[in-house]
Formats: sequence, structure tokens, C-alpha cells
Amino acid sequence: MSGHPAAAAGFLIDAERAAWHDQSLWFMRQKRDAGSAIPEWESLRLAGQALKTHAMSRLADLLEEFERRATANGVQVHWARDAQAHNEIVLGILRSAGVTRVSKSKSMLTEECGLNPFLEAQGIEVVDTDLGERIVQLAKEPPSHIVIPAIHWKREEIGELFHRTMGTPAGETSPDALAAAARVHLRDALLNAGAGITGANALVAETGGVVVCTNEGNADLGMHSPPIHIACAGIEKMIATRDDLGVLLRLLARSGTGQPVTAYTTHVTTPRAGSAMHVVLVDNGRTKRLADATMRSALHCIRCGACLNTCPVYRRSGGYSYGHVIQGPIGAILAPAVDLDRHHTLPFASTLCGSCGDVCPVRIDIPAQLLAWRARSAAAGRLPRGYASIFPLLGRVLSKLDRYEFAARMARRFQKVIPASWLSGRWNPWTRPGRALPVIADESFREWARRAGRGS
Amino acid sequence: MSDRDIILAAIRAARVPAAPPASAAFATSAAPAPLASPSPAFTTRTDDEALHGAFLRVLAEVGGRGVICQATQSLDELLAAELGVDKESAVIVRGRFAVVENGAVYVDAADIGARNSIVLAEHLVVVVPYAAIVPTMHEAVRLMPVDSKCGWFLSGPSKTADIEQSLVFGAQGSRTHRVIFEMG
Amino acid sequence: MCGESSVKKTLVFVHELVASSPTRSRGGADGVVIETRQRFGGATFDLMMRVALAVPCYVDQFRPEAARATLTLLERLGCEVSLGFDAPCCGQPMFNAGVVTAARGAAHEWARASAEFDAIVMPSGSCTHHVRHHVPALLDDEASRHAARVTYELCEFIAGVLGKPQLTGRFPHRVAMHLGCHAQRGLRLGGSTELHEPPQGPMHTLLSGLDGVDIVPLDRPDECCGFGGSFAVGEAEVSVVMGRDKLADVARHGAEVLVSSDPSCLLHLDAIVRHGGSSLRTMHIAELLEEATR
Repeated sequence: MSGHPAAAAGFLIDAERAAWHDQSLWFMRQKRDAGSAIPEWESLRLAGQALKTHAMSRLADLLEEFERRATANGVQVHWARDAQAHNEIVLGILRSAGVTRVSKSKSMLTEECGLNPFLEAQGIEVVDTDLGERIVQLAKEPPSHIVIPAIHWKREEIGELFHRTMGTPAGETSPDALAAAARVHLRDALLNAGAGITGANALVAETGGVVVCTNEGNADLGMHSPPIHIACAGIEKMIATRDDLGVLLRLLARSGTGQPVTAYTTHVTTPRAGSAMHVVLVDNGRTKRLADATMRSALHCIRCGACLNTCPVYRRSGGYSYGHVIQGPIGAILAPAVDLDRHHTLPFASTLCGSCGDVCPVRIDIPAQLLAWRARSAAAGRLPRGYASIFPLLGRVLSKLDRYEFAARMARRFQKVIPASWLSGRWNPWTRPGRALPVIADESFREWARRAGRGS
Repeated sequence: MSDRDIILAAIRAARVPAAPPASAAFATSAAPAPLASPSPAFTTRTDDEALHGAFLRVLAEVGGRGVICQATQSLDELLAAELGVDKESAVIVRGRFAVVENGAVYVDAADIGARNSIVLAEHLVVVVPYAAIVPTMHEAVRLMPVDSKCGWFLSGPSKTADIEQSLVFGAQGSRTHRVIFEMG
Repeated sequence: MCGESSVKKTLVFVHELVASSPTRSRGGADGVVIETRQRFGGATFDLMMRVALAVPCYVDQFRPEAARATLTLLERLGCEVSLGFDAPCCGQPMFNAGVVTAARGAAHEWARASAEFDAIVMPSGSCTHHVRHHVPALLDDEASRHAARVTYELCEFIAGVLGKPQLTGRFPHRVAMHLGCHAQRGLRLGGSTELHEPPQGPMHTLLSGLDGVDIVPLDRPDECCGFGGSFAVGEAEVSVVMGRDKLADVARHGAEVLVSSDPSCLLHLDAIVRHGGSSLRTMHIAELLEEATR
């Protein structure tokens, strides 16, 4: 085993912890169900899908409109074709202002671009200020969930980590006390940073505004305190109008955490007096996906995390099993576009149960794209191990009745003569994790039908 | 070519088929509950009292506290009674309007001092005109000032659930959050 | 809906009505009956309903009793059932594994075998879903579109086409219901918690209409059981944990019987039950309805 199956099996070795992880995320799914139980929910999802489809159809125009308004408001707009260009732009802004310490609120884009290690290698200290992100940063780990980065951490472990890194009392495990300690620790970082980096939940062409949503308020401390605010955003964050923003905000938090809206929703168009504001617009593979009609709609993702929370596979395999900055079902259709070789097992890390598609607030047909990526993996010769030898043969056997019946009769004979202990050996993935061997019936339905004089 | 030109050219080369704006798509969809008539809970009871009642309920659910300042009462008296000793560490700002469906109030940077004061405050009080209340975000985004430099929808105090999903208020911003409706 | 009247209609019309029914995609087999009655003015036809029973490969080999029960049940409900459907597999295993070229041969054979029938019933939601939604896209020919039009999952056929949303029968047991995901979210034959829907759909209605039955509510009523075709072996560890969790949910609510309209889910769940030595009885919905209506 390699790729997702191996990592998932590793995660499941600690069965108790895996069950706890599953239940924690199922709780999120239940909160989403309760929070989204408003009469117009399905209509809102249609509107969410429509506004994103519209924005992608006019993306170049909207980006130009946004740039024009933002520039007129005194915002400096930068364009980055890839991660490297993005990182260089951010570094350039920081260098020219002599900044050596920055705070950063949650931004999946900067994770994708590897901004933290890049800046740290240049001698710039980066403090992630979302509590969950700070936990994983202190532990030198990547986030395991796009909305709840430290969902895989238990309070005892966080207590131990904070004891080591922040000097909280040993054995402290109360979330209130730990969060209070983090508040002090993070305020220091936020107020003494030379610049604040944020992501963007949306860019609004009509207003030239950058929209940032948090529950903790860390993005606001970060962007309104230091003399420089840098907002980093993928180009797909573009939406057309403030009406669209209204729809998006109604969908986002309800899908993610079940809240009607995040505690802080900031719409900023203009730097405050005496400070600078930058927006970095990043491509990094997005235009390539835009040109791919089958996979295009994955760009509509608003990073709410609902598909992760509902995914029975994500809940039981953990975020790291995906080996990608975006995890879960949406990650499984985004990652192969980045590197199919490396991520070819991800589209297969799904039962195609369809739940992800039904919770998606912008109705991305994730199951259809999982299937499409499977077909592309096959075409590229990158199927999971064993698939390439089994399925073409199975296809031949199952495409003619006589071949199929012959094979079935042979299998039945083998079943009778080969010891069950061998059939259920370690090599057999059906029985290995705890399943009895399937039993081929002594008489198939077709054989019975023929015997009864009714068959074909 | 600059990165800007490369990106814009790549987008245009992708030839994404035209798609109508969301509002148009919505107007023609066979959706069961059109966007034009949001939650019956909000829209069928348009009298102010019902709107305020619903707002206060949602606000309480998101960890905030709402009070209606009666005509017989002065705002100062109410604030003193509400905040007690916390008055020293409270920041009191003007909000433009309230949103029923999510308990949020809109605060514009033009109405406050330093932008980060709303998050630095230990206790935040937002005073909103009684009549300034809308059912949903659809109405709310249209009320955002067109010349706004910065503005917030604030829904309850700062919170986190990043430690084993235990809800903790006052994560990084305000520990308490009050909305006071002012008459007249 | 059609009460006790013996409904005999010609399916030549019915499948056209189904295809044009706007409610079909929402598990609207009920809508078919309504339309049929409107079009036919409530008249009944004396033509016998001819229907082919298509038995998926793994049911044929691993659970032939589910196919036998389907046959008995359909005949008991007044159908003339042909067993002449002579293709072994719709191609879903290969298709879902990404090996589209290998899926094409089986799908082609399936579509060919479908040509001579006006109605084909399958005791499997997932195969029906594949035939209806994937095969026409895969082959893009008239034969596959015909197959998609005339193929029904058993419960939607009984409730929608035969017009018997409820049967007279008795099953005095505590039953946990598991609708396969492809029936649930692909064919929309059940109420989905994601969409805030109550338990509903033809299988739920058929089951709840039986005397003495006690449908136990599950904590996660529409959570996947973890089978997922090639997933069951490609991601064997996750697959089994999902199955165990499903069975634990069923056990927590004291069900004696776990019933599903998807034999593939049962193949997997039953293998876990047998490995663990539990006393839970797994049944296909055809087996349950057949037993209940004896």
C-alpha cells in the first residue's frame, strides 16, 4: 500500500483516536445540518452556484474592475502567476519596509504557496494567529483541516504544547485557560508585527473590497494594527457584486460551522490613513483549471469545509492522509490537478457516496469530478496498485455471459478446494481488516432458473 | 509579458461559457423558495417588534446580548446599568443597522476611531437606531455605504472552538458583545 | 395510492411517462402514478405487465436468494417476469475504478440485452444508478438511452410503476434500514439529511406499511456503509471501519434485522457481521417483502 490507503490505515491503528476524530467531525456536520435548516437553503445553494459560475465566466473583466477600484482607493494590486512569484512579491513588500516580523491570519493560499517556510528562510518571523493554526505551527505541523486546523489535537496535548512553548502551568487542559493564554501570546505577536497578512474569503468587483471572515477577530487585529496589510487571494475569490456577497455570506458559515455568520466579517476597500494595503492576486494553476471544462467548477469552492466534515472517509482517515494543503473530497479533486503522479490515489479515496456534493454550498459536483479524475488516472497509467491488472480482465469476463459463467464456475470450484485459511490470508484486502470471505452459492440464480426451465 | 497580462490572457483563452448573474439565474429557477422571499420567519412578520424579538434571540444564540433602550431611559443610564464596572474597559460605537437572521450589526470605520478598536475592546457595545433593522443579508449588503473604506458585520463576541471544539468566548477580540437599540 | 385494485398497465406507455415525469429525479416514482392516472383516466388495462428481471453479477453468485425473492415478489404482485435478460454486468465495477475502456464492453452488452424489454427491474440501487446515469454518457447511443429509460430499482418499480406504495404484509421485527448511497443520493429514493429531508422514499414507505414492523431510527441514517466497490479492497481498512460503525449504530438501536435495497452494501456488511459473529440478520428488501407478504 502507498498513498492515501497506507496513510489511512496508519491513522486507523489507534482505533480509539480515529473514532474520536470521526465523532468530532460528525458533530460539525450536525451543526451544519442545524444551522442550514432554513427554508430557502436549497435556493441559496442554487444562487451560490450561479454567482460563482457567473464570476468565472467574466473573471478577467471582474479582476480588472476590482483592480481599477482598489487602485483608485489607494490599494496596491499585485499579480502572481505562481507560488514563487507570490512569495517574492510578499517578500519584496516586507523587505522594502524593513519588516522582520509578520502576523498572518488563516489563508489556505499562503499554505498552498509555502509562504511561511519561504519567509522564514529569508529571516522573517511569521506568527500564524488563528488559534488552531498557531497550535499546528508551534507543533511544526501543517493544518489537518482547512477550517479547524488542529481538529486532530486533544486538549491534553495542546496543554502540554502550550506548557512547553508558552509556559502555561503543567497539566492545564481547560480550553478556557489555554485559549486565554493564547490570547495574550497572540496579541503580542499581532500588535508588534511589522505587517499583517490575511487571506480573503471574497474579492468584490463592484466595491473593490476585500472580505475576510473570522470568529476570533485575529484577522482584524492583524490587518488594522501594523502599518502594512497584505491580503493574499487566489483569483477565483472574485465575485461580481455586493448582492453576491450577501448570498455567499449566508452560505459560508452555516456550511462550515453551522453559525449564521462568522463573528467578524470585514469588508475593506481602502487602507487606513498612514498605512499601506496590498492585494496579491494569485494564479498558481487556477487558469489551467479554468480551461478544463470538466473540472472547472472546483474553482467555485469557498473553503467552508463542509465536504470534509461530512466525508465518511476523511473523518476516518484524517487530514494528513491526503498529503495536500486542501484535504477531504474537495482536496481529492484539487490535488490531482497540481500533481497527478503524486496524488493519484486521492480520487479513489471515496466510496462515491455523494454526501459531499449534497452539502456543498455552491453545489460543486464533487462525485462526478472524482470519477473523472479516476478515468484520467487510468488514462495516465496511474491507477492504484492492482487495478490495472484486475479491472481490464474483469471487464473482459463480465462483458459476455458465457465467459462470466465459466469464470464463476471455476471460482466456485477453487473455493471448495483451496483452504479458507489461505484465501483469507494477509494478502487478501477483503478479509485482512476483519471481513469473512464471501461465499459463492452452490447454485447461482441463473443456474437455478435454467434448472426450473425458465432461464436464458 | 507581466504576470498580470499572462493571467488575464490565460483566463480569456480559457473561453469560459457566458453565465448569467446570480440574481437572473435565481429569478428563473424553479426553486421551491425563491430568494425574493426569504425565511417566512423573518418576512411574514414585518412589524418592528417581531424583527427585534427575532434579532435578540439570534444574538443571544451567538453569545451576544441585546437590549432595547426605552424612550423613558437615557442611553448613559442604560450603559451604566448594563456594563457596571466593565464600563472602564468597554468600547462604545455606533452601528448603522442590525441584521435579524444572524444577529449581526453593521459598523462602519467612518463612525469609529482606530479600526482595531472593535477588536481591542474587552467589552464592545454597539448602539443601533431602533428602526435600522433588516431581515437578511440580502437587504444588509445593499445598506453598506457605497463609499465605505472599511466596515464590519459583527455577530457576537470573539470566539474560538479550536480546542476540541469547546466554545470559548473572547478568543482574541471582545469578550462580551452588546447591541443596544436606541429609540428615536 | 392505487389501493388494492390490481393494476395492470402496459409499460410501453409507462416508461415514456416516467421519462417525461419532472419528479423522477427526486425519487418521484409516486409522480409517475399520478401522471399515469391522469393520462389514463384511472382506467385499468387487462394487459399483463411484462417485465424482465436483471440480476447483477454479484447477486447471481453471492446472494441468489435475493434474486429468487425478487422474482417471487414480482409474480405475487401480478407481473409476468421474464428471466431472459442475458447480460451479466452493467460495467459499474470497472467504471467506478476508472477503467472506462473495460467498462464499455460490459455496458454495451447490457444495453444490447435491454433492447427487447420495456421494463427491467433490478434488485440493486447502485446498478440501476449506473445504468440510468452513467451508461448513456459512456456509450452515447440509442441502445444505452433505451436501457436507461426502462431500468428500475425494485422499490421504485413496485411503488411507482406498479402503483403499490404499500403492500399487505406482516413483519413483526425491529428493522434498521440502510438505503445504498447510489439509491439515496444518486436516484434520490430516500430522504437525505444533507437536504434536511425526513425519512421518505419508496423503500421507506413499503417497509413502514407492513404490519408489526418497527423501523428503528439510526444516529446516522444515511451514512455510507463503506462498501464503495473497488474502495472495499483499495481502501480496505477505512471500508471496514465504516462498516463496523454502521453496524454499531444498528446494534445501539436494538435492531434485529438490517435491510437494504443494495445487495452490494449487504455483501460487505454481512461479511463483517459473520466475521464478528453477531446475531444481526441482514436482508435484502426483496427477501423481507417476500417473507412479509407470504
